[in-house]
Amino acid sequence: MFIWSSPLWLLALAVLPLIWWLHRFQAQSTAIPVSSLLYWKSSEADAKALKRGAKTDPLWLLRALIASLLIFSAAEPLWVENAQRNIQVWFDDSFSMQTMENDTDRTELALDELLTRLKSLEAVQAKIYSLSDPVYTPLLLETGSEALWKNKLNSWVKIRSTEMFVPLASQLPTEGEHWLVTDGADQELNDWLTTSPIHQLVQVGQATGNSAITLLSIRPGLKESRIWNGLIQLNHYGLKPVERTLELISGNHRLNQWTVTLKPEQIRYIDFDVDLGALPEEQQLIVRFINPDALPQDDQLGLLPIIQVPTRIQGSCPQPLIAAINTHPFLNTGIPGSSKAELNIICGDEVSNQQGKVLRFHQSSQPEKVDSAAVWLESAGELENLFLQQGWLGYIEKNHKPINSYPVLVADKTSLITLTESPQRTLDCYLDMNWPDFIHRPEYPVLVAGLIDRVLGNAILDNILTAERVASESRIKPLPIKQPVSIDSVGRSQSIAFDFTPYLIIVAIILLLVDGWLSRKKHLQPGKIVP
Amino acid sequence: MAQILDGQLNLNEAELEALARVAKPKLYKHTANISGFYRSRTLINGGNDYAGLREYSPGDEVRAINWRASARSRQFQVHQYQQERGARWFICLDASASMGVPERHKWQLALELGDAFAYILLAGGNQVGLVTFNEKVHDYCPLGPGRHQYKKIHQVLQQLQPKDKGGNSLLHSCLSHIKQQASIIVISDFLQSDFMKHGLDRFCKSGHHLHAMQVISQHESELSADGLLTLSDIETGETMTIESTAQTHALAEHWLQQQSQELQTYCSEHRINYSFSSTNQHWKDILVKHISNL
Repeated sequence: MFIWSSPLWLLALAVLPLIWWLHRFQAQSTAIPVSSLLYWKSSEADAKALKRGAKTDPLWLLRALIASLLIFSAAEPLWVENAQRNIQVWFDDSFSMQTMENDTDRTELALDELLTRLKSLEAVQAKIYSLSDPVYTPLLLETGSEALWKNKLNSWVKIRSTEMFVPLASQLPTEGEHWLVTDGADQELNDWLTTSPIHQLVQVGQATGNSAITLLSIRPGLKESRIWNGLIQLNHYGLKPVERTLELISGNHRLNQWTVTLKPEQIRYIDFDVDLGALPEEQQLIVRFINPDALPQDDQLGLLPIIQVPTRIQGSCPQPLIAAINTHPFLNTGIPGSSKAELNIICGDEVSNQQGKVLRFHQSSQPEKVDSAAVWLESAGELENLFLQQGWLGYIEKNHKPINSYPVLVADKTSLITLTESPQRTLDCYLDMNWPDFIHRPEYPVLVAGLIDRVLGNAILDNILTAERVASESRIKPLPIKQPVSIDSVGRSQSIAFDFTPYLIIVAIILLLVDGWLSRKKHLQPGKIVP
Repeated sequence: MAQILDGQLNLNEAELEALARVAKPKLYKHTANISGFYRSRTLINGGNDYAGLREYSPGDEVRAINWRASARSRQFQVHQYQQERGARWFICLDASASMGVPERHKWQLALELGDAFAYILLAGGNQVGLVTFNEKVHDYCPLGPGRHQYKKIHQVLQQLQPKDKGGNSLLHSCLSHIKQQASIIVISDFLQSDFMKHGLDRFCKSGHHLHAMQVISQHESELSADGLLTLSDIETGETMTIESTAQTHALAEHWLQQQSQELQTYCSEHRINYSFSSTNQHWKDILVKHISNL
């Protein structure tokens, strides 16, 4: 197929009439000096009549031909083979590709542009790779209509909020050409572009301003357990400051509202207090901007505040233990029998048939005094900071040893507390929780609270609940991209069968020499002063 | 004469010498025949007529040969009696703008003719002066004899350029500088509507004997391109539009020939020695032809 690589140059052919005009009227406008007009008088004629029928210097044809050849060579005429082009498309499916540009997001714009470029090629096989998920199966586009390709692309694209996994340049497939589709908002990807053999860049997106809620965090208040302290982090990227209004809601209740002015690149924190006890249960606590911006996906964060752990107590627990459990502010022991308990506190050897984690306090009528130092092991976690003196403690002889358990607290060779991970996370405590020397100790409720934290795997007395996102993903401003020199040229060469440009230039040079020779010959002819 | 030829006027001195030797008797006779001209003998070395012997050159009278001396030297020797003060000659060279158009060779040929004439005439013992003119006298070299005079004339010609444009060819303007009767060599293209007849008439009436050397370019009636062309008169600045064709050129050529013919007729009627010279001719051929026609 014959194509022009730079067809806009062909517009320059419009100057050809100018060449004719210059030759047509230059001859008339330049007066030739003669020694006397006397001997030409007889040839004088009506100039107007002559001008109408005047001949143009025939050299204009040669010069027009030279100009045409040069213009054609600038337009780079190519004969391109119809061989199938093999294109590897690296698709930026990062978070910022969800940015809205007017009514369309960048992903859709990018897919449309990619599709247009691919369909403009004669025969093409394109393989689309995800840049945010290296194991995601690439999409192969080979045959089919544009609509079919679009459907395939739409169902294939998944925007992910993860870091980019750009392949090393040396790992890129060597066959075919490489295209990159991106919004240019990711500096790492832009850097990769400059070092990779990318042949064509499909860049979309122009929006620059975006504000994001990047962190929502709450924790119990130190004064009153019902009142929780919260923190919101806002990031703003763009070129201009903006005023944003955000609200804190739970279900249908608006708990708070703020209007803030955010400057470019500013990180702003808002702290608040919220009475979680007054909120409906199992409702997310959500903070969001009231009016969406270019990237609405980062305008909201929410978390589910776990206020009290549903707890069921089974068996006959000693009074001090009951008292210690009841004073724990984040245990809800009054759940109905049919409700699911997250924590089962069992006193005795009874086997739990409930779901949830198990804290079992073994009991015996004949406990024995611990006569060795009690030592916390690594699996104790934060409990290792709790000192338990051997004289305070009594223990209960094990009737059976739980399978797959490992010790948490030992005294000599005796395991006083063990932890089992399956089938239920179970903490077995063989300390006598009714031992007279221990029940009055201040360490007693601390031990109970520590055991609860240990079995739940969470320090619920110091409970910090956080929802956050990577702030840098909210940068949507397209960054300057330094395109590699080889861009858009190497790929084409793979399908070029013949480039006419050098031959046109050679012919033009030869014709220029002929023109120079003819002009000189004409110049040396009499009728002009030869200095 | 010594070697003094250089620059744009680089004539072969040997040729000039030879030509001068041949032309001397012819010019001598020519000036002798012209009424009103005289030859005088000035005495060398305080009034003694006889100045010695010299080698014979063609044109010397046979009776001047010293046979005895010739027999001794086996070459003809003639008596040398005097240094001729000679006849008076003025070379009037047209330096108007038309002399540089359409080609430079036209001006070059005019200079060569003027320079060669000066050499030959001075070598023949004549007094020669130079007047160059356009609408007025441009350069004036008063009459003088000998090598020194030739140097002066040569130097003037060497530096002379025709006008770039404008001006006219007014031959009679030279008359104010030529007080005595003399032979006048007018070198010009005579491309005037009256072929400078007015100036020639004035010279004739003043009693001068005239030589008209018409210098025309061989390309005078040719143009560089065909088609519609604007021509500009180099002197008057007047323009004219013509259609350049073979027929146009033929008409111009015809006009030139006709004008030359008229000039020639006029010259023969007024006993003016006329020569036509074209740039495709050598100055020596033109001079030989002119002198032999005297």
